[in-house]
Amino acid sequence: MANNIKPTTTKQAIHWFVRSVSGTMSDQEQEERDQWLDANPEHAQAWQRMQGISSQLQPSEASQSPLIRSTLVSSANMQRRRLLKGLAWTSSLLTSGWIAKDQPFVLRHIADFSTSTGEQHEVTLADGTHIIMDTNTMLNIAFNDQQRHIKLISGQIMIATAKDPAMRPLIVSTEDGSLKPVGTRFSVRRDESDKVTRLIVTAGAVEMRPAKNPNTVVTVYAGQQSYFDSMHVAAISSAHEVDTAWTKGMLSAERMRLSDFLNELARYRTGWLHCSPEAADILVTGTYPLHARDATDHILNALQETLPIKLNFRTRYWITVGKA
Amino acid sequence: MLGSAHSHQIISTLYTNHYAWLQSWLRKKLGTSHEAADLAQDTFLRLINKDRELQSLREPKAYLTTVAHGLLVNHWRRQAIEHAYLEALSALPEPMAQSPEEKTLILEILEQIATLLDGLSIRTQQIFLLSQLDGLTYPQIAKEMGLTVNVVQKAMTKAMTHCYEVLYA
Repeated sequence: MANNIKPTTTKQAIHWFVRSVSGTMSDQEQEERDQWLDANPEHAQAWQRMQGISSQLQPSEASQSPLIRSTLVSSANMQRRRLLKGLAWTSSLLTSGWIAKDQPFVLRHIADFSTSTGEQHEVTLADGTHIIMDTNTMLNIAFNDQQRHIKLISGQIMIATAKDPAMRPLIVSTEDGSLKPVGTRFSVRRDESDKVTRLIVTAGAVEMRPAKNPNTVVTVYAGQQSYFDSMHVAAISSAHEVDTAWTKGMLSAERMRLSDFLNELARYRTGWLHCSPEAADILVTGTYPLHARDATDHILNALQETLPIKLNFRTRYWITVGKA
Repeated sequence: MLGSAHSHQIISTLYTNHYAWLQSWLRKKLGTSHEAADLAQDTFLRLINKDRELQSLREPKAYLTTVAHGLLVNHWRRQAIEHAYLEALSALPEPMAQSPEEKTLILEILEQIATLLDGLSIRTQQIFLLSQLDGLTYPQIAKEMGLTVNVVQKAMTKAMTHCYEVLYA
């Protein structure tokens, strides 16, 4: 184990292995591979390791392979799901077709930290950086010698950065690009539905850098907000306190359209919450606690008491809000 | 061996100060208290032989949660595998006779493979398993999964690179 194989050799060995098991290798390719194998003892050694990897997967009995494969794939699914949602297993996970509902991007990750629908959670990282996670949020943390990296897969987080004794820069990234804070407190939101990353800075400053347009760097300062996708950065506007009320466990609105408010509320609620077009433009102002038991039910009831609207329950998880 | 005597001291201080909340943190994640107690014990066991990290420990809570989180992930993985295996078994058209020893053995193998593949996307895992476990060719895998042969080959390269790093890097 101690003797190191050169990375270039490893790369070549992987290439030849991947070709060798393809079932589409030509005679000429096979000859080239054999020449490569003979050319250097290190090549043969790297090849041994490829066989070693492959042998890890060989079942003792061939008949077991479909069983092993389906177990591994569905357990990977379940485990991811377990980490994402904090739910106990349900038999429906194993029925085919449910995977399609999930975002492929999400499927690639088993998040380091996650909250379920309606849950908020606070995390302090090893360097002292403090993160508040909003409902339905997934993030991965990767700290190494060079940098501290927080990847927001989806959802919303508020970050209060700590000064790192090792002076490593902190990078927050989403699918759209990266954010580089300068001694600060800020919130980042990425919903699967609107495909942009929203930034609100409450202290310090943060640089936004779209992934596919890395030469564009826009700095957002305290009291400002903006958003970007992988190509473009939107204009900067002033931030509103209501938009960060969630960090205090509140859902807050100031003259917000009912349909927008219900979209926000739906993030904390399992099921389907629909606003009829006639009720969509009714304006909502108020601050509602999110941490109480059945909080979203209470909020809906409070809305019904104060606004000219009516809740129609198809089921507990399927609610339409119409005009009274 | 001054270092390890000192580490021992650090671990016992950590244990005194942090065992209780770590156990309750784990209980919240797991829902059962005996498993939480086991994992909390395991967390402290993991600290033995971590001299260097213990010497420069600044945030004991964060450090302990990171270690415990890793154990939780393993625990959930093991649970998921066992559950999925039993489901897969019960879905077989013909019931399969299996001794408890055989079952333990196969679960161990499964866990080993799952650990090896952890971090790869489910699609990549599936491609890799179809190739290495079932011995399908790339065109066969592509057809089964509705992908191009090129995508299959790229996934295989990714999977082999990943496994190499896990096993040898």
